[in-house]
Amino acid sequence: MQAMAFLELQCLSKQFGGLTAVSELDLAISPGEIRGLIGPNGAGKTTVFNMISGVYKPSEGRVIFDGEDITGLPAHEVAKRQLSRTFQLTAVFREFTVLRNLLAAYHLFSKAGFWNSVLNTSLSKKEEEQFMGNALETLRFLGIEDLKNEIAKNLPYGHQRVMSLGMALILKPKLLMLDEPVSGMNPQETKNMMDRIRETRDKKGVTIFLVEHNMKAVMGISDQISVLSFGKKIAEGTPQEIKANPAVIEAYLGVEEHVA
Amino acid sequence: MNQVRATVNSNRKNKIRVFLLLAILLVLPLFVRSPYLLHVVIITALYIILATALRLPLITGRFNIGVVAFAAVGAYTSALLALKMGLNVWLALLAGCAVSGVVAFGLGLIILRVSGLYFGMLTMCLLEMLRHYLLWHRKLTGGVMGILNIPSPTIWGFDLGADKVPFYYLTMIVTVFSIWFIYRIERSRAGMAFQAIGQSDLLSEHLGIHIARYRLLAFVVSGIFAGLMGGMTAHYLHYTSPEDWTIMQSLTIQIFMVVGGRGSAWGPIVGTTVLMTLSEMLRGSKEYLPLVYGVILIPVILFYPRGLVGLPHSISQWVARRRQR
Repeated sequence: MQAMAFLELQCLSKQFGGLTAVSELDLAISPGEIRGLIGPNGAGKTTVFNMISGVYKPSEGRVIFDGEDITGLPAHEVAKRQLSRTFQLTAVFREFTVLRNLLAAYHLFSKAGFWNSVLNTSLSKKEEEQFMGNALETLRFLGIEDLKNEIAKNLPYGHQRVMSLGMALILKPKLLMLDEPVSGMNPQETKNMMDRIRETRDKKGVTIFLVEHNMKAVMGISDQISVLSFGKKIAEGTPQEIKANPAVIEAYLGVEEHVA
Repeated sequence: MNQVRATVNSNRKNKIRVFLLLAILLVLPLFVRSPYLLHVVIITALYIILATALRLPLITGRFNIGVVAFAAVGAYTSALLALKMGLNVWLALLAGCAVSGVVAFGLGLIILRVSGLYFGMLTMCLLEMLRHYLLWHRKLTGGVMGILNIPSPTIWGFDLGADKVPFYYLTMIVTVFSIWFIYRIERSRAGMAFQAIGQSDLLSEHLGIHIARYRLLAFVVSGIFAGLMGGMTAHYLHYTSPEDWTIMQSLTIQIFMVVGGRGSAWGPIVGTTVLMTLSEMLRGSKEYLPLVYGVILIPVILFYPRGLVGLPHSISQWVARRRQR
């Protein structure tokens, strides 16, 4: 299947001083795909995400998204190009209500400008009403509409992560990167989150790239999986292929032995 | 629904508070005849402008400990333009704001990338540097003597500074405007960006918020209003000198703001008013003032981060808890 690569990482590397976190990574994701990224702790998965979303500048290599070279762009520029990303820690604004969290995500779409907003003109009011309507709809899609006035830090972790998914969706992403979306969740929360993610691809056509340690979850949802170990890609294929891949098995078991 | 109603009610309560306060301020000079007391009120109002201005970059996570530096820039610029160039006082005041805004812009581009404690230290150093410059460049700034005979603003020949009452009303107008404007910024999209940045740089950036730009905006607005306060002070006292713009003054404003409450627009207002009243009551024993401030400040920081503004809420919660037992 030679589909045009939607997100392509070309020979991507990241060094921190003497430590090589990611080494010559080649990866290509097709539009509409759900791609999993797995690997033992310290394999470099979050570093890869950080290089794509603009937190780090790659030491070498390029990131091509939807035909455009976005290598090294700062995070707000990447977000503008409809590539959004969620976080594991600091997933949401803890002091804001759920609704305000989502409203914050509309920042890029606000056309009213500084003075209209400060003087609260009818242009600004109308815009904010529209955002409010859309935000409530997103909350409905995620099934958390009744939580809209709760303060984020009072919510259980699972709900906060669902909220962060909502915020990332507001940016109308063509590709969504999810950093361990179900970490710390119980089986019910996990199933709920994975269903929402699958729906996001199925109903909204968003390409998904996710890092996850929960094997059942990532195997169950991914079309393809890439495996990282010590900063290098060691395998790539369907979940079935990856499960049976000896290099993958060794990478996980091998790491435990070294630690012992 | 209940929560929406609660918000509407608190908005209404707030509007009533504001209205009452404005009404009191309007008729105050009828009841307060003493020029000295009016003087205290005027100075308090000017401090409120500075404390309010200080709060804006604080929301974005930058505590400008050297904030009176911008007030000093505004004061000296306005005074020198009015005195040495004969510029109309109103224009001089505006120029003072503009210059401190520009200084804030230039400095901000460089120093805002530094965070937290180090940023505070930097601004403190910059304040000291400014003070030393003012002392050194005697020919321009009058050195340690400062600038005297700074003219008052006038309207159609009527000198607003001749008597306390006219300047009182001028100060009230400027202060209310400043508070209103900064409040409106806080409630705007920009204000939402400030609050987002204050909570998480990383998350804000990934939602498309240009954090450097918004930090700079908060800092520049803060500089402009600090400059306004400085100019007003200079034209009110008819005098300004490096002694008016020291770290002690800067820290005092911080204390006003923190004790009042960092999280709310009322905080600087309440904090400044309460502590200025206190400092007036202790007029006889000025030496104890820093001690008193410290004794109030430390418990507030440790136990009441929401400050005096949060006190009614804390009290009602405490009462509710006692009732449950």
